[in-house]
Amino acid sequence: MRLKSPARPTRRTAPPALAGDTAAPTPSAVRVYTATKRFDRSETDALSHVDLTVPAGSITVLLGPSGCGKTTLLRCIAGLETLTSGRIEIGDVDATDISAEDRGVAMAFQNYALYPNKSVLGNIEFPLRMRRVDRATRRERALRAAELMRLDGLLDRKPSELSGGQRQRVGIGRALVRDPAVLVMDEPFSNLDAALRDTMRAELVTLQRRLGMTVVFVTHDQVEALALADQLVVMRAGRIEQAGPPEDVYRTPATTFVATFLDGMNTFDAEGPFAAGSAPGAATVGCRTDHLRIGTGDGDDIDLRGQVLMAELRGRDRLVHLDIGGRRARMRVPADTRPDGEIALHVRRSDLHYFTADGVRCP
Amino acid sequence: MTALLEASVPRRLRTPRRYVPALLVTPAATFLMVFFIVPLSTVMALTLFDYQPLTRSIRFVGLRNWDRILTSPELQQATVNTVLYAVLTVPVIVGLSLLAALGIHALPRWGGLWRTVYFLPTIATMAAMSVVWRWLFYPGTGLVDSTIGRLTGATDWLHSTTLALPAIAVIGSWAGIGSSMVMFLAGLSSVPQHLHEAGRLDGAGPWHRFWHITWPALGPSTMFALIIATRDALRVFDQVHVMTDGGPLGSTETLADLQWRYGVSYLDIGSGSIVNTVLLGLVLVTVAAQYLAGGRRLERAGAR
Repeated sequence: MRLKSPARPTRRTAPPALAGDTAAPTPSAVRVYTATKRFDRSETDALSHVDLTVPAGSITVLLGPSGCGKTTLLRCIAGLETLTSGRIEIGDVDATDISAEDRGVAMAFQNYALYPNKSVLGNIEFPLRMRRVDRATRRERALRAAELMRLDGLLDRKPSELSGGQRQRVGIGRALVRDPAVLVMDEPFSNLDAALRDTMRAELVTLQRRLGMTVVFVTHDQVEALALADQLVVMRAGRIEQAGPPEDVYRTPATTFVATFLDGMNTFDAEGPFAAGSAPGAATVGCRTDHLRIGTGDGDDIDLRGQVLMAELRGRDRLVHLDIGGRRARMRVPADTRPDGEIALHVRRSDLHYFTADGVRCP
Repeated sequence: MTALLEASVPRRLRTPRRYVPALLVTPAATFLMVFFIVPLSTVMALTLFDYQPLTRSIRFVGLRNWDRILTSPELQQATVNTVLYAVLTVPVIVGLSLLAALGIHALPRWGGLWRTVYFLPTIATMAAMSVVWRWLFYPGTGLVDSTIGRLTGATDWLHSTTLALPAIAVIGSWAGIGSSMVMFLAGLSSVPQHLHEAGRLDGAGPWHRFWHITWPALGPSTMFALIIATRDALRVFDQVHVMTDGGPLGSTETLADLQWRYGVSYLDIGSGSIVNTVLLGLVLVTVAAQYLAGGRRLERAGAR
């Protein structure tokens, strides 16, 4: 994993491109207070006392493994699920008991959820039809949304005649056409191939900057999460593990779970060479895959010896699986380095992360 | 690599022998031959003969049977009655079974119980059920006369030339709803949940979600239910035979019952065969018309 270019410029609220001369909608912040969700006939909470603020006009990414509650939280924000307890505010309005039909949150689905019997234009127009927008205005706004999503030549096609990327563009166009206060996206790109996913991701960021909308984006792909997020929220077992700017979450993971899920960080028991000299009380030591280095260190560095088990080529990098005195570890080296057999390794003490027995970062 | 793969496949599996496809087609072909083509050809041929099953005499009479039957008032009335019966039952069956399916599909639980309740008439023996219904329609004291009859003055349905056919239609609808409903339930369960969610987020209320999402997806189910219900209606026999035997004054005589009357009661095999052929033609023409009029559109609309 590679960190993106240094601090991204803060996003400003751009003039909405879709609303035209009609009242410009202001993107709304979403606030979630102690949200708990338990499904019928379930023993555990799908969401447990979740507090979250989604700032207006920015992208918040919910990241976590499957079953962590990220999609449930998204569906609660959209109104497709009701909270067992807690409160959701959209803008300054308490939306907890407002049904999905009236909440005004737009959604892009993983499987696009296009109306199969309607054309591209019919799909995009549909939310406006349901809001009784008159025909001429409706057509004009739908065409503008279609143009924005680069669907110009496809307006009369049925969804079954489109490729996956085109379908998701229709899905996003349909979500954008009514200038929603909030746009939620449930793994919208996960059914697309890798190259297309990169393109769509870049398009989404460009679009969001241009329209200044509030986006909540769910994914289990950490690369996607880091690439998109203004605020990154890592979830686990119905709780928020850590929330903050993606750079902060990446650099200083709050728990061992965040460290391993976001970065695949190596974790070792704090003993032997990793004895926690500088952090009393630490039970676990974390070390990034690219902070394990080949060769002997100097000064205060920790010297190790490792046996190479195998290596995976990852494009520019090579991920080397090691056995360090019975501990499994992974090391990222440039692709042209091909370590083999037993090798000398070192790691700088300042690169180590210390965690308590509960997996919480030592202060 | 390819060579390796081929070597590992037993020789007899590699290229199917020429007789294998023929072997696979044989059961279906035999079935089609024995139960469809042979009987159909026999019936067609019998229309041209005067065949006496008791004396086993058979005489070729050409088109004389056709001349006699096609111009007979019995056939004309039976055709009118049959079509009228279909007009009375098919919309009711398709409409009510759709409503029943929508209701059962929306139930959070006990859906299986209600499905069984609505399907029971379909699996019950029609002739036996007709006896029960005849009792319900019993003049004066039957359930129908003592309730609807008291309120509207319309009594003794089965002995009325105007109400007997509607009475038969009531029973036919009652019996036919189950199978159509099952087709609609199957169609409903194939509508993806996320489409309804997208509809809700787009601001569509229950009616618009039905009209824009559920109904288009039900296209194939609707078409199938319509065709099956029509076919069954045109072939109506059991309840007519048990409850009115075509009466009073032939007001409930349908093509299938007329065919029984000619072929079995009068032992006039030639005439019975002609009625049978007319019925077959009527079913084929009606289904083809339905398919051409709306079927293609409905089927395509459901395509995802």
